Amino acid sequence: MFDAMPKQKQELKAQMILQGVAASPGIAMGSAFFLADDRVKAERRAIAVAEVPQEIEKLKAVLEITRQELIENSAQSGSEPAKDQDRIVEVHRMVLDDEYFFGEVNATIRDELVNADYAFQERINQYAEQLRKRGGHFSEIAEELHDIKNKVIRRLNGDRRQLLNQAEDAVIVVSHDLTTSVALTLNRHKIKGIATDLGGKTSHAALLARAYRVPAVVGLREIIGAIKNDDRIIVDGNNGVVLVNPDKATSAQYRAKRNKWLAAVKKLDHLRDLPARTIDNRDLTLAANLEYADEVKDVLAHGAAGIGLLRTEYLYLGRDCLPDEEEQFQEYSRIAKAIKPHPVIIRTMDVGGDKSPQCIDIPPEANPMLGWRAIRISLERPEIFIAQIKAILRANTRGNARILLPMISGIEQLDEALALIEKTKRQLRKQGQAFEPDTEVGVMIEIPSAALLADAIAERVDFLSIGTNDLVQYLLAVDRGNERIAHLFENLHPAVLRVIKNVIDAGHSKGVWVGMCGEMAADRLATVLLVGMKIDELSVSPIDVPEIKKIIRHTSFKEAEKLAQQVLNFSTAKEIIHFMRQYMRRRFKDMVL
Amino acid sequence: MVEKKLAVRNKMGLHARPSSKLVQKASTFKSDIHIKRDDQIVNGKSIMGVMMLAAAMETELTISANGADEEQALAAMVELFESKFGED
Repeated sequence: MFDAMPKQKQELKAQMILQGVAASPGIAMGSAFFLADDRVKAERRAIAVAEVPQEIEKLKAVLEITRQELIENSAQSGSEPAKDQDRIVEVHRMVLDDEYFFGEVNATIRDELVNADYAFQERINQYAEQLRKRGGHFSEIAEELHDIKNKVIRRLNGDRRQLLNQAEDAVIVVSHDLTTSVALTLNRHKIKGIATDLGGKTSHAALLARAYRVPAVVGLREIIGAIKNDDRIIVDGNNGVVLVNPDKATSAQYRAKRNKWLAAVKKLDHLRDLPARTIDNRDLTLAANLEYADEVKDVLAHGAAGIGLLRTEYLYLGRDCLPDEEEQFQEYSRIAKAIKPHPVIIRTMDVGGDKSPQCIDIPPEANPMLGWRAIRISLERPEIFIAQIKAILRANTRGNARILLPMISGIEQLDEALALIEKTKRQLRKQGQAFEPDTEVGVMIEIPSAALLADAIAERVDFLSIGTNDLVQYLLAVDRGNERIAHLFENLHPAVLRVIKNVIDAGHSKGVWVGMCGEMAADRLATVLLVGMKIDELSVSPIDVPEIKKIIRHTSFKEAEKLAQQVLNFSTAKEIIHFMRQYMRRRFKDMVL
Repeated sequence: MVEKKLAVRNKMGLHARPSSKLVQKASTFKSDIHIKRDDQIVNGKSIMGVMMLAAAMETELTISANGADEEQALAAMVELFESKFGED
């Protein structure tokens, strides 16, 4: 998917252009830094001849550390049945010590010019495959080899993350994929751009980039194979393009583009203290989503009226124990106080699916996105849920905190969760703890069944918030992480618009407000339609607040209502996108759409 | 160089444990030690190599030693196979 362009004579490396999906706006220029994800799989990465010795040294050091660790661990467990175990440890130790095998891996690094972890993985896999074919107890040895491989590669990966956190300058992180659990271990100040092979607009890499306010391009398919560590790259998050080893003219052109973009962003600054009000005086609440707690000041700096979605997963991921009530109370109080008098809507734990914490044992599932996650875990492990609810109810005495329940698929579940919340209040009362008994509770509408039952749900709660990332994925049956079918994931699908309209109308018929907190809330092509469908609140990444506010402030609600009626009659996403793009281009000439 | 043909005699064949014993023993000699199965030759001092032979019971192997202490080395290897690596 890339064009290798011939360059001027003085350029040794050819300039390359890779096309991906624009995931976070802006332009970043800098050096590439490779990072592996948390799955134990090494990615192939081309290295320079000069990098060979350091790759070999790195592997040697890691093999030695892993071997030492094995010996120490086996010394600690000195129990009787350890005899068999000892033999296994002995074999592992000998493999890590096998200088002939080490020599083969080194030859792979040198001859194929690939990274150490990949070379190690490929050689081990080759051996394991041969043993597996032999069958019987020889295939057990293959399993042992995979075990050793995982240990070594995990360590080599962890090594990279540490290196990033110690880097002198901010770099552009290049990865096959970037999961939340890996992202949480990174120092955000060392990242100035992100480029990944996998993912679409709503992938975790995209959310992370927007949260960190760094440009990102995802869904590049083959970037990790195409470039080397420390290559100069440009990430154009406005157009979804990555340029590798740009020539002088291109670099200059992009510097100018970047300055122009920064100036345009700055021009939006004056909107910060103005309300999200249409020309004909319909007020919307424009809030921000929060992925990491240290963004609170960004929310205010961008002129958002509160936090429409606080994702609490960061409290559960990247650690081996659960956060207790007190820790959560401190955290939620801090945020509620900082954002007061605006509200913070706290979504209860939404782990499982593609985010698995170490502290809750989630067995492997064939369909994790349809599996044991979010409220399904909370209801089965009420002690986790109650600790979180207690913390929110208590934090609400310090500011304006609300509860949002994720992944509700039916009324039984909702009633059960509401009963648990009431039970929690009784417990707090008994303990004599100060808390806010009238804390508002809302439901995230992200499963089609909940969308269809929106009226029955609205009768029981204070507000609804449409989570479009999952709703669109479930409604259209499109895995948003699968880049092969990512083009089928479409916010502006006519079925999606109809469902959203129904949810908003159902909420209003029961007298509750309806918001939206998925990426669609920040989709420039959708904003006017959502205003026209009478959405009450939009919650977007802090970085998107100014531009969405600009669109709202230049829109007439009456006109938007007519536009929405017209668009709801279209039968294909293509028509809708084409129509809205024309409309927006006419109305907002300098906006990137 | 000296060499000898023999067959694996322990039930489990050259799985992880006997392989580690063999490599540990081989490593005590100065001579190069190689093991051949059909047309695959591996280094007797490499556990990965020896395990890779996946030699089950009755598999025919050729052990060779080459160096200052080749006689002793070969004798020690043969002894290991004959003692069934202390198994069974």
